[in-house]
Amino acid sequence: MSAATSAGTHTVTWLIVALAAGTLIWRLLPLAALSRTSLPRWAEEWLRLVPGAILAASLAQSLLVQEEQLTLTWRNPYLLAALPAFLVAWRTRNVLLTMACGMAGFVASNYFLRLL
Amino acid sequence: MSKQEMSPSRYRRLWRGLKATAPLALGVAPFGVAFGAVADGAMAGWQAMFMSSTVFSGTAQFVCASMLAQGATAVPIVLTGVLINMRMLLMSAAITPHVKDARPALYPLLAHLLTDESFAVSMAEFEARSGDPWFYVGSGLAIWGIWQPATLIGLFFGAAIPQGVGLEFALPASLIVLLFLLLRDRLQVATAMGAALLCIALRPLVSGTWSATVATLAAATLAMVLKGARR
Repeated sequence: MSAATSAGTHTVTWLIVALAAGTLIWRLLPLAALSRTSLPRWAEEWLRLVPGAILAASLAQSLLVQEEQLTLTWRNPYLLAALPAFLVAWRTRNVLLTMACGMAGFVASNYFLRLL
Repeated sequence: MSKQEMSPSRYRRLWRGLKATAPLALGVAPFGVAFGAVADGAMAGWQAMFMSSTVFSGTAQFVCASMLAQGATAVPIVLTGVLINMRMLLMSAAITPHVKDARPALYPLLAHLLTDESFAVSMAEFEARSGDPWFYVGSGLAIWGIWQPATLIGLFFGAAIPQGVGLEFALPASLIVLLFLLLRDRLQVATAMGAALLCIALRPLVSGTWSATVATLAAATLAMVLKGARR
């Protein structure tokens, strides 16, 4: 394993420590601050909307943005493979089955797009 | 306390969380392998393992390792990685009411195990039943436990990972099924769609690392305002 970078070994180690600390702060701060108080109703309602929204936004990015480019065409294999995955997830809510069908759909989409 | 005694033991609850999350851990594994492969050219092997165990955040690790490999300097790398993870503020805030019964000494552990996947599985469980810190710890451990060997495999066999079996789609597919597990009412569905649209629409204005957080903040707030206006 090579470490061919301009940054020295120590720098990289400290970089990782700083990144870990910064990430832990995001993860810990709300838990530490909000656990003692009960939130007002509107805040609870607002937070209830957050999980699905974050996930949907990340999903939109991973399906539609390929190599930093917006790829809103039917020639995007991620978009094509999402169709069977959505269908299976909707009908079954089965994690493994959705992943299997999505991956199979991705392979098939790439195959057919290459034929065109 | 009587309710506590009636409920299954901690171990059983932890195990349930672990089992519920295991299929998603399979979807995370290819990403961990990909990180290991990128890290191989960017840092020492032990540093990659150190990163996977302490930072434990796929997107940030991947982006930071790529930046290192391209010769970026430390400060911008750390800033980028920490900013990518800002969405965890929101996730941590959302999960707090469901896990705050844990001993405060455990909070750092609970916090460290927060990932997109463990968060989504746990929230789906908590909305359907009730909050449970041990289920959540089990869920987080399932992802952490797969992330370490996946990184190691990527470090050693990075270039030899099979292509053309659709592994690239494992993560998007797991996000899709998680959405169906998470969304329970029309307001949540509408907000999620709004966030997805905003995230894409805002791309020219907001950089990719920020767009998911900004879109979520905007869509959830907009949904609350619109709901309030209809009353």
